[in-house]
Amino acid sequence: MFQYKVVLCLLLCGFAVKAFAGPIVYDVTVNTSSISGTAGSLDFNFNPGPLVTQSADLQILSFASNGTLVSCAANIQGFCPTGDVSGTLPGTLTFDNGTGFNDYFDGFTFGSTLSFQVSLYGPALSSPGGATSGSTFAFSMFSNAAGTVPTLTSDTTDGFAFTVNVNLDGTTTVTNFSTETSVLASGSSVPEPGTLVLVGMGITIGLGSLPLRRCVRR
Amino acid sequence: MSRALASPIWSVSISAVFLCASALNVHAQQVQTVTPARAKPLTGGVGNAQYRRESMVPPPATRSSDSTKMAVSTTPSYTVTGDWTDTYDYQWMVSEADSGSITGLVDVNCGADPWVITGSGSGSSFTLLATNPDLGSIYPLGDCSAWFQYTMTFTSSTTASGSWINSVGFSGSVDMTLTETCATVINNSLSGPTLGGGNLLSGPTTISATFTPTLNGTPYGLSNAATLCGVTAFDWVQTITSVPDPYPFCENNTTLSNPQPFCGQTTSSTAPFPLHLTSASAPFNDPPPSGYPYINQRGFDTGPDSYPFYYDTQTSGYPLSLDYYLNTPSANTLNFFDSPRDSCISGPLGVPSYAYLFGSPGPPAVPASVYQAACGNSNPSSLPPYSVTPAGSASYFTTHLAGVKTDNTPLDFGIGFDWTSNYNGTFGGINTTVAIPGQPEDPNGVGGITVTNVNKTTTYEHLGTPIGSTLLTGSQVSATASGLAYSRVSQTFNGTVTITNVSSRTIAGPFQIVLNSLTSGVTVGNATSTFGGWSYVTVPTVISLAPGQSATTPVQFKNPSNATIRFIPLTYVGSFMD
Repeated sequence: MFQYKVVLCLLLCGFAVKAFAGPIVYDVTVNTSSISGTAGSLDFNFNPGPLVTQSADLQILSFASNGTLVSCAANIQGFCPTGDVSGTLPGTLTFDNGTGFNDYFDGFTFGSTLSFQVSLYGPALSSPGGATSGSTFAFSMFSNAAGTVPTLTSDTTDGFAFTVNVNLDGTTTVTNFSTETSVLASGSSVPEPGTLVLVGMGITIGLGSLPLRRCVRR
Repeated sequence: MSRALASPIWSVSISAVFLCASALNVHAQQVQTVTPARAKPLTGGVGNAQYRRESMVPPPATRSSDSTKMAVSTTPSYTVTGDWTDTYDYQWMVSEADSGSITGLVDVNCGADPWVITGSGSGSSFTLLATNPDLGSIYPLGDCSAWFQYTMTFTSSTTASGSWINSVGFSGSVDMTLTETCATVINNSLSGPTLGGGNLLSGPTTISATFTPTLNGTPYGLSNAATLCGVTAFDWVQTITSVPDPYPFCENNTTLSNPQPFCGQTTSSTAPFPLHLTSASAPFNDPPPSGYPYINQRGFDTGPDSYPFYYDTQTSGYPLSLDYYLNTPSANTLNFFDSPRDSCISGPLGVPSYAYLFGSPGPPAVPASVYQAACGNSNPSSLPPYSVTPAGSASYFTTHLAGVKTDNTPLDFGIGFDWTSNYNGTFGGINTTVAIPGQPEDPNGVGGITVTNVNKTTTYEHLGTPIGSTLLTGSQVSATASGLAYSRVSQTFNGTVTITNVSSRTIAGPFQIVLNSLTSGVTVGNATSTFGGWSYVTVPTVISLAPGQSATTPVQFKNPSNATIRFIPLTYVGSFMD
């Protein structure tokens, strides 16, 4: 009975970590007031790496702004999505990393604010293993319709506002080049993977000391 | 005498004329220092140097008109490609395309060096037009002319004579001598690879090549070339850069872990065990350090090892001894041959190879169960499903010419070829597979070889003790990569490659990552240079990697067609240049 309870406690710890596994969501808010009224453009792309890459998906959710999107047919390239991308802003965009270049580009007249969510999910995040390449999401803003003049970023070479790397261990890494852009893990119920690990470790340690002793005592 | 010594670089000026006259009156040798790129004569010291250079050109007899005719008639295939020195001590680096178009650079010590060369070659004649890079100040150009042109005729495979004119109207005669360098004699000396076999009549698929060092079409001799390159001999280094799982091959007894059912092992086998080679083992040398069980050491002997060379440099007379492939099939030639087959590779619809299903009749006869076990299937009654690789799987090879340094380590010149094989025949080219739609490497339906890249040149020059480079195997270093973010600003795909020391020993750098088999049409924006026909990047500021330590370097790709970017990362330590 003693061993049974110990095992049960450990299993519960494991399930507790598993229960957190799900989409990794970031809330993105951009203060675009300094370029309000500028007829520019937005770019989202989510691409695999050059080696063996595990399947992953990404969604752009809850796009909101007091700026104005250009219809895809009217933007400078005459369409928005390239590769494995479905949906149209301001609705949900869904990307996968099944092809080498998965991109959504649209003209946009900036307002004072811009916000959306980035949700990442799929085997590369929920059951990582066997891959030698990750995947990367990049978001860029431009002050021209052609998407060649980056704005609100210190990355003047490549023009990225921020990137999110899906790492080989299923975690994600955000690199933010924009002081006007906030990229935060969404809500306490969906912590960043790094937080997930900490939470799991904390629960494990907790159950490995006091809770386990309680199990044993019972 | 004056023929050789008016120099094409000089431009018109009164002072130049006076100086020329002065030189003529004062010192006969300095009259010769009117050079093609200059507007004024050189000083006496330089002139004397040129005089000494002139005295070193081949004897006049070899440059007579009769000799010229003889050379033209007997060796019409001269090319200008190579490093040349002329009467004026100008250093020419010239490359001639198959079309006869000539490009290159020349250092003339006048104005901004180097000057750009254009020109053309036809038969035994060629022209070289050198243009002053200082285009913004044609007049005045100071001492330098705007351009000069040589019109030359080969007088032997390594010498040429002719005339020059420059932009200010000077003219004269000039001789050129091809410099014998390592690169000059080994570049474009690779023939092949040539593919063979692949059907019922011609037997298993084969790949072969030859290396015959030459100096402008004339065999230079393997030994002479080795001396010129600072090595004791030439050999090959072959790397298997990628294999499919399950893979039937193993390395001789090097592990305490029983790989059964692979490598002919069972649960009752005893240590040490063969090491089962898998996709995670790649890249690895062919043969691996301890050899394959079926060939023991490289030369089928038990003597000293010659890892990582393809042919055994330590033995003679054995089937895989290096000397067996020297002067074969002709003198001054090093031969290469391979005929790989992987019985685990499946054909269309997953149908296994003939050997996997029925064994080989021998002698000695080998039952199908042996082949099945080699593919990880220890229970033949479980057929189907088959434990074989997915259709279309292939092994990837890189074969390079290598010098044998005095310490018996390789100097990889990067000259060689990359190829793949999906051949699964087990004997005589007979197996059950047929052509796989969409697989051009399998035209005969029995699996075959595809050559994906050939590189026949190197930039290596023997300037001192050869440094060389050594490939790190999959058991030493693992390579991973990030995703590739697309930048509309730079129009590049950007990511990183990370190498990690997975061995138990510290590995000293510097580290070079070769992007082998990079997707066609994709180029590396931040490449250090090329090696073996592929771009490579140097991992910056990393002196060594301790066990478990990683180093990351950015990679940037130009990909106009937005193709899916793929490559095989090969990590080398050392330098690709002397």
